[in-house]
Amino acid sequence: MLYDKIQLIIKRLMLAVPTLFGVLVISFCLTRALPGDPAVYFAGAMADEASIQQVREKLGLDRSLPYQFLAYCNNLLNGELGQSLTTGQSVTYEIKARLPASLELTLLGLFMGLLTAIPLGILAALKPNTWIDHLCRVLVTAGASTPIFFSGLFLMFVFYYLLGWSPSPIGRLDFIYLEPPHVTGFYTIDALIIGDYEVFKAAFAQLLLPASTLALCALAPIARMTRSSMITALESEYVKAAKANGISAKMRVYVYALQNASLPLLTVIGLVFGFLLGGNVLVEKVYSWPGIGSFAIDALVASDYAAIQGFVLIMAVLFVTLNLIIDILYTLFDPRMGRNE
Amino acid sequence: MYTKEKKLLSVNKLAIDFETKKGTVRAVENVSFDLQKGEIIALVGESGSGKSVTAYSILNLLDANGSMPLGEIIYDGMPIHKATQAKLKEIRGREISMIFQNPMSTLNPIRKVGQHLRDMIRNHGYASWSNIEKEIDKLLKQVEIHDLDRVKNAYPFELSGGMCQRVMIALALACRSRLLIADEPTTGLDVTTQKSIMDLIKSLAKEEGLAVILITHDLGIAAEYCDKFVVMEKGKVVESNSRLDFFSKSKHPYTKKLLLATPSKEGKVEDLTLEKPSYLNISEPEISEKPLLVVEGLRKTFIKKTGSFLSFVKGKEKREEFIAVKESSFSIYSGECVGLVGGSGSGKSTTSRMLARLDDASAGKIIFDGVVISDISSNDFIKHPYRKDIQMVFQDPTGSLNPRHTVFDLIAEPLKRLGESFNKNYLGQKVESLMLQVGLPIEFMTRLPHQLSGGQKARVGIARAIALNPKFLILDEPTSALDVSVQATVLQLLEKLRRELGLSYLFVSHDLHVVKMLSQRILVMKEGVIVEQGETSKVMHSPEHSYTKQLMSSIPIIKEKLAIEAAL
Repeated sequence: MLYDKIQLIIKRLMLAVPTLFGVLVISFCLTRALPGDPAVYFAGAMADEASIQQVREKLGLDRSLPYQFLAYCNNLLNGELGQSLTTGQSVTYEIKARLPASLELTLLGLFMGLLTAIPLGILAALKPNTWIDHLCRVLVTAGASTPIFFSGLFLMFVFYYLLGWSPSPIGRLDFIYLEPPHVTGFYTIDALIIGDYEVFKAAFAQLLLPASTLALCALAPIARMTRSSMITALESEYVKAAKANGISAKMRVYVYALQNASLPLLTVIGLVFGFLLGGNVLVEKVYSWPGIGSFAIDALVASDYAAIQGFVLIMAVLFVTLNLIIDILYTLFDPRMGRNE
Repeated sequence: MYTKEKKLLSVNKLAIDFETKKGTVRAVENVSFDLQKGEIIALVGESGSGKSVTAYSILNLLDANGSMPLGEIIYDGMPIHKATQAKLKEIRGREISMIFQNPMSTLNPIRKVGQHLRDMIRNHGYASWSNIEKEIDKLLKQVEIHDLDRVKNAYPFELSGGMCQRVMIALALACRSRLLIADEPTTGLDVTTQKSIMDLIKSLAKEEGLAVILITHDLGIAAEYCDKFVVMEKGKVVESNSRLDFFSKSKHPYTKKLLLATPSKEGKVEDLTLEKPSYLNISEPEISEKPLLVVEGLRKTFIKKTGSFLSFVKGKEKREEFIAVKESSFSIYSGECVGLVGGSGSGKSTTSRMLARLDDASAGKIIFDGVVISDISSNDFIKHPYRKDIQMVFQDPTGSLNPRHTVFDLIAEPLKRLGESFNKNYLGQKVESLMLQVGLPIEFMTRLPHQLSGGQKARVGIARAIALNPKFLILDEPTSALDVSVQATVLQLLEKLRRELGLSYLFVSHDLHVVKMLSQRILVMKEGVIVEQGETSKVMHSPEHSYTKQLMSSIPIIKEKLAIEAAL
């Protein structure tokens, strides 16, 4: 049984390799297909034909596409993602610095979304057509129909401008605080590690609004899925049988029904997390968050090949890892998996 | 012998209402019965008779829109029809428990069997931490499960349906309930499994004094196992008798109809209804000298890949062969009906799918009308001229009809696909005559499947199958989803069509007693092998193979039926 599952997990891991290679090829080809010549941009406004050619040669852009691709792969194997043209730093350095900022934001957003959506969905399923069900429906509709940039600005307007509860929405930390020493890259966690509660509070306060914006958009699909899969589970034969056998209501709802409902929920959470990673780009722009999303937008505008490729690749790795984790969790939760393969 | 004892349960003049959008609907009215310790009572009726609702009301498991405005339910001196939720929690599972149809889905699919039992015992505080495992072992042994460790650590999907039902019974008995409500506990299980489950329930009643309410549509089971009978029709009790009186003194026409329609060992298809069917004056079709269909060495295997991860990488996985049908040979002559009987997993459905050319055979030959048709792949067979000669009637009358097509569309579909003429008038006339032929009123032409009853849907399925004047029909359990009285009329319809049109049938079913009424010859299949074939009367009276004997003894029959038929 366990052996079967380990085998299944290894198979899934192996299947991720070709996916990643595919992403590599596609992102490489797409960036080359973008209009604009990075050599012109890099050489500067005053450059003449000869200096542009020089830059082109230096960047290897005069060679054939397959050659460029192989060179790119070779660099990747050495952990080199190339040089960002806009910031002048190596892409690896940029991503290392910015990825934790984005992840901290996304994870907190997802966590807040889950924390509200799941209880809401369960309550709505337990009491269909009552006020809580209607509240769930309203929140789901609002969450699904409000674009991120709007809800972001709206929250900022209310909580920063009108109420003044929230610190000024620029960056990860107010300039009067010092960055905590880099351990995980998550300011909140790093601050807790050194025991600096002031910095933790400040960093958390900065996080709260953008994370709520993400949570609002994560809420809709999760609450809806929780509600519908809980209703299905609560109406199932095994819950009915448990009721007839006198199993207590608590156990029926939170063990029998929720366990089964959590399986489809897991899939949706994976999807939502992927969606949030993408949605990040907008939130980071609105809140001037120094994350990977705003970096990618700047790179895209400047036709910064290396940076875009690095961004796409890192996103793809995140997506694939995420799906892997969901798959593996699914395999562990559902005993039926790995049986009919 | 029980009359002196106190009544364990008594239901008096119970009525059940359901609130619907169209107002209050009374589902059950004036239902009364008593039950004593060790007694098995049958609540018999066809679908929609209110038998399940009555049983659910005892534990107050009605849906939120249901209520009991009249009558009372007294359990052991307590009026439980107005019990509070707290009181109900005490009663459910501890005093009265329930088992259901389809045991596979009544167990939580991602919870191990042992956990189920532990939940139950702990919830009712019936055992302490130290002796809980011993208690579980005892329970499993009580329901005749012997490989304790395997079953305790198994998930429901790893067990057979019969095993799951045993586990459900163990759950029901976990806290020494005194009353068991069994809602169609063996519907959907194999006949041999059905017998073992029912024998277990009966022994629990007789030896442990468990009172049982058996809800069933099958009078055969009721007759074999029950002490008392309550027959319900449309929410009302039409007959309530002890065993002795039930078979000799039942008067209500509905009871008589049910008794007649229940297949028996000797009964003929024309005896299933009170009125003799009209086809009796049509002579038997002549049976051809040359066989219409010859099957030689038919075989079907499925390949399952297994092996370690390393072998997966190397592409050297072990290929395990699962043999569904093993070298089967038989022939069918035109104008004759051949029965194919076997338990679940015996390969009878695979055989019928191969003959219908929906699946390809792994080896062997199918020769139809002198032409080898097994060489044509099932994908190409749709274009073959023989496609219209071989048709199939499917098991699930609802699932096999497109829910968005009217009766006209459904019957006209094969005519449009494979017929010669697409003329609207011709189609209209043809559909009308087909509807008459299968006994469907013409005004049903514009109805959708959900507006039809089960029997009517079955008739639509038969009309579709005979629309193209086929020579050979494969009937795959055509009546197993139907009520007995409907089954009787559908069987008579099939017999009529065979005589009128000279059709040949392969009648596939798990129920030997149903098959034998239509068939001239019978094939018995077990684990992919035809273990016995021969004339119906020979197979029925002197079966040779032990499996045939086992099948026959597993099917419950009403022994008293001969007497009733004589009395009528």
